[in-house]
Amino acid sequence: MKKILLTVIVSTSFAFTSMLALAADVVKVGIAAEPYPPLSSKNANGTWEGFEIDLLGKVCAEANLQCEIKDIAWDGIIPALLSKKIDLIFTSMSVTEERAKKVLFTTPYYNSLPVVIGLPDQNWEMNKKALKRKIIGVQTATVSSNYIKLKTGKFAEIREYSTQDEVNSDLLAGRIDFMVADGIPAMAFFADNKGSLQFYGDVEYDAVLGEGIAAAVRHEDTALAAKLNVAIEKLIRGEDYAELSIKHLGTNVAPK
Amino acid sequence: MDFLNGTFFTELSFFKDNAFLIENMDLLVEGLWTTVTLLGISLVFGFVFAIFVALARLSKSALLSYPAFLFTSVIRGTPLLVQIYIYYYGLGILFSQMPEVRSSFLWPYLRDGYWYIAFALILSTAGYLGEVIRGGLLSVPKGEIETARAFGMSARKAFLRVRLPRTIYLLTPTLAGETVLLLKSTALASTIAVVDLLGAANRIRSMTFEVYKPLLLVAVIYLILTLVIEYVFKRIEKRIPVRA
Repeated sequence: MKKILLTVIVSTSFAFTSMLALAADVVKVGIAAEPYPPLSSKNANGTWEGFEIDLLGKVCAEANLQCEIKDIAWDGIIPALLSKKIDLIFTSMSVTEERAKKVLFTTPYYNSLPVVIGLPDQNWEMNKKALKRKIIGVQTATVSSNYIKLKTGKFAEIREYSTQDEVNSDLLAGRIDFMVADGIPAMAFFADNKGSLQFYGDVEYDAVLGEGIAAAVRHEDTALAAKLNVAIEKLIRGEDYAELSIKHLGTNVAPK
Repeated sequence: MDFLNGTFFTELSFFKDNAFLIENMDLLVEGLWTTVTLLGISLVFGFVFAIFVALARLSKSALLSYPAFLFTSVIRGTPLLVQIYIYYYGLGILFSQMPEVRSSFLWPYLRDGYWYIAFALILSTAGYLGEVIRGGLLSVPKGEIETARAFGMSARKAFLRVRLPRTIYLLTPTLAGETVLLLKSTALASTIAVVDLLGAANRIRSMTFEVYKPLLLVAVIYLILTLVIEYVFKRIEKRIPVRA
């Protein structure tokens, strides 16, 4: 009897430790809680969908990681990573010098430049004359906001919003004259509202725009970064990536 | 325990790496100015409006008292944030769909979140203060008003010279409290992309990834503003000649 009991205890504790080991392998992935279609947004059932979500699934499978999505507000996502609420950021974050001081970026997994979309019949030029009394909306803490502040901050009124969704709705409502936003979601939004908006082209490249979009981990998690790098390198060259990209975005956005 | 050895403690080493606060001082000053003007505008207009609300509430005519009752009930019975969203996302979008509004000279104001916040705060102040002033008006001893009338003052004069001033004297401590509450309500401005004090802190946070310092700094500024408000009202209270 005693022996059986002992076996039970030993085996349960074994089961317990293996469960713990399993639990330790779960990577908590932070996705910006706000909708960012067609990259990441929640559908009517409350499940995540979009290019990045599918890609994340492939990256995790490739790197043999058990990933679990957590919704985090965009403007607090780096602090959430640093305070270990999440272990990985996978939410269209551009690689910038400023951010690289706080987080460790992986290899970029897609690339796109900001575009300018605005109310119709205006003149878009980045000078004082054209932008006098114009309001430009951007999502806060993005490369687009850094870019536009650098280029026009001295003479144009720049309004910063915490989500891209709010920028979109205020542009439609005519509260801002232009918006500068990442090309992929912005063009998807523009395609839905061609009647009331105008596309003013993409912006000239500047170093503040960063070097593509990458996942981010804490500086000390080099092992995780290495695993992800191998997976991303392999995926972006593969057929699956091209297929996924064309399905969601219409073009292949793989970084060169 | 994570936050003990994580960022929280290191961020609390308060006296190093504060250059970013100085670099962004202009943003903070702009935010402070927005907060203070919002407070001023909503206090002044809200107070005047509140007097009318209180009078309407006390009116014997149901045509006046009932709408006033409805107004205060709705304003006090719904969250201020909900009201702000209704004005900004509801009314604001409605305005934007009317070409005649969009081409009018008012559009630069109507497209700006600041005036929606000001509007919401004025109505809110009117609702809350209206009830307070109503109570104050009722607590002025009847004898004083009758005396004023006996001196030959018209009803309006007796109200302006005796009843209203007496009410305000009685209410100064309450008014101080309401003003402090109003100051804290102005922080909701940051929810509709208006750069008030909290909005400025959030911008600095998102630019520098500093989590706590900007928030702690604006918390201190709000606290100082509160102390200033309380001091000013204390001065007013002391200055008012009240005969025992």
